[in-house]
Amino acid sequence: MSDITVFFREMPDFMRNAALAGILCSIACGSMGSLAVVNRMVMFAGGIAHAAYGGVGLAFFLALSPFPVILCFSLFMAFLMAFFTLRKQDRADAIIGAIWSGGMAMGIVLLDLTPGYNVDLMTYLFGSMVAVPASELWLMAGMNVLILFALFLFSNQFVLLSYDREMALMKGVPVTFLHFLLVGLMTCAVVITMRAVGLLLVIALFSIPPHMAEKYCRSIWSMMLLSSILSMVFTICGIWLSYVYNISAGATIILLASIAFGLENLVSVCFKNRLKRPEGGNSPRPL
Amino acid sequence: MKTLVSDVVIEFRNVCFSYGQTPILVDINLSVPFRDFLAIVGPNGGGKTTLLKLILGFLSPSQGSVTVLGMSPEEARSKIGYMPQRPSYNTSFPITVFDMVLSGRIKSGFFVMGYDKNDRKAAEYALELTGLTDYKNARMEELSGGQVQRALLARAVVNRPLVLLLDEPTANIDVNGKMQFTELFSHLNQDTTLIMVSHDLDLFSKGIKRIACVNHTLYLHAAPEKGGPSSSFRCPAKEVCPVELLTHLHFNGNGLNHV
Repeated sequence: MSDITVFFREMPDFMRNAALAGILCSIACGSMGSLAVVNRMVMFAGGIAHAAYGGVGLAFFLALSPFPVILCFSLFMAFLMAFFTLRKQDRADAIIGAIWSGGMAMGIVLLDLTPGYNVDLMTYLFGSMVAVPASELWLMAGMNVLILFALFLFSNQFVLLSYDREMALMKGVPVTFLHFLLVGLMTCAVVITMRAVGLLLVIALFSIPPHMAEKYCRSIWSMMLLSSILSMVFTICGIWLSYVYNISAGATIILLASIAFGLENLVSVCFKNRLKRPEGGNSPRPL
Repeated sequence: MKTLVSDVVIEFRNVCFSYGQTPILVDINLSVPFRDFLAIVGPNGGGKTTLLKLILGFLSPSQGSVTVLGMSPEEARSKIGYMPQRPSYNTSFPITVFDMVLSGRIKSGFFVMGYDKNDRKAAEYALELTGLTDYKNARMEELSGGQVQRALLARAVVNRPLVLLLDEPTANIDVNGKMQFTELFSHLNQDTTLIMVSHDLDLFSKGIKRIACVNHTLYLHAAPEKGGPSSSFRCPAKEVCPVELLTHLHFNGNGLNHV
């Protein structure tokens, strides 16, 4: 069972679901993570992921289906953050910190108050790809379509908004609307990813693949594509390794991504040093 | 748009502006005719950038009125080209020079379609004008400081604006680069009104038609080529007015007597 091709040909249904969930996560994280990285909003995504814990608590307290409650609660918290950070962008980290911890605390208190509470909380902290039911796969696929459609519809505006906000404002681009849309889409991606790799590890998939992809790309769209592919490689390999060695899938994926990130940085640093031109040896660049 | 030749393009009437209790601009009157090339100089905090933001409609005056091409600044925005100072954009964003220039063609509103053939042609032309055609597929990060400034200028002119606002376009550029920019501005000035904020003292570069010294109030100086010290206004902001300083240096040969 150690050969990856044999594994994917003969894998049990729950592993197939896990692999599909991984691919869907990769598309969502690759695209929204790229926008998060270039807009310096990775911590924003982290804030959403942790505040979503309040949604977990709320769902169990009210005995409702977790996924829609988590999504609605996360969207609410995310828009709250977006509202406060819109005017005070240089203080965004403090506001994110407040909502990050507030949401989590609310989740813990609500779970404490839930009578006969015995859900597997680790599912939401570290994710459980092997526990993703087929019905949720459809929901995730739908969310991916929504994200990609919105990106397609507002592609040029997102580029200008991310590159030069002042110019976007001057050109009559609906900056406030797009800011909230970006946050909304990011929340969708976070909630999808949370199910697979857990809310504590969302940040890794949002930051590692896009950051690795960034320096090889000439546009935000190729960056999204490359980071989606990287995410897919990490998740598929991670799932396979976790099955073979019977270890936690979410953590394995992140560990793989982190190792690849470290190696890639090491290689590029060595490569750069070797290519460094001798001091004073380069002619002045033309204007 | 030849009908505008003799028209006033930008008009400030008794404009005052203050941030909270601090007055930045006091009683500004200024009219800029078509094809003017106005340089704005003055100390930090004197209100140069505020003046540009009033023209762009990002700020509105606390008193008086600003009209651009006979319209309010917001209405006229699509006819204004703006070249921001360098730090205003996301320097590490992955984008090619061509795509960056093309983004200047974006239309306002919610649902805009992608860029069409005309937009691409306009971007090619703007790159040709600024001499960046060879770099169109380079990433913005790969450009030198001067090339970045050229690319920002290309984006500002890609819409063929009637008014071009330049916020310190030649900061961090060497002398040779500045001369090339000067020529480019003269060329653009043939059918565009230029307003340039500058910290540089090389104000006597060719092409500039008038100089405004802004230090809360505004003083207009005559064209530097034509006017000696007698024809330029005595600037009450002379401690900080580079025009005053330079006319002294040029025409009295003794800048030390200035203060």
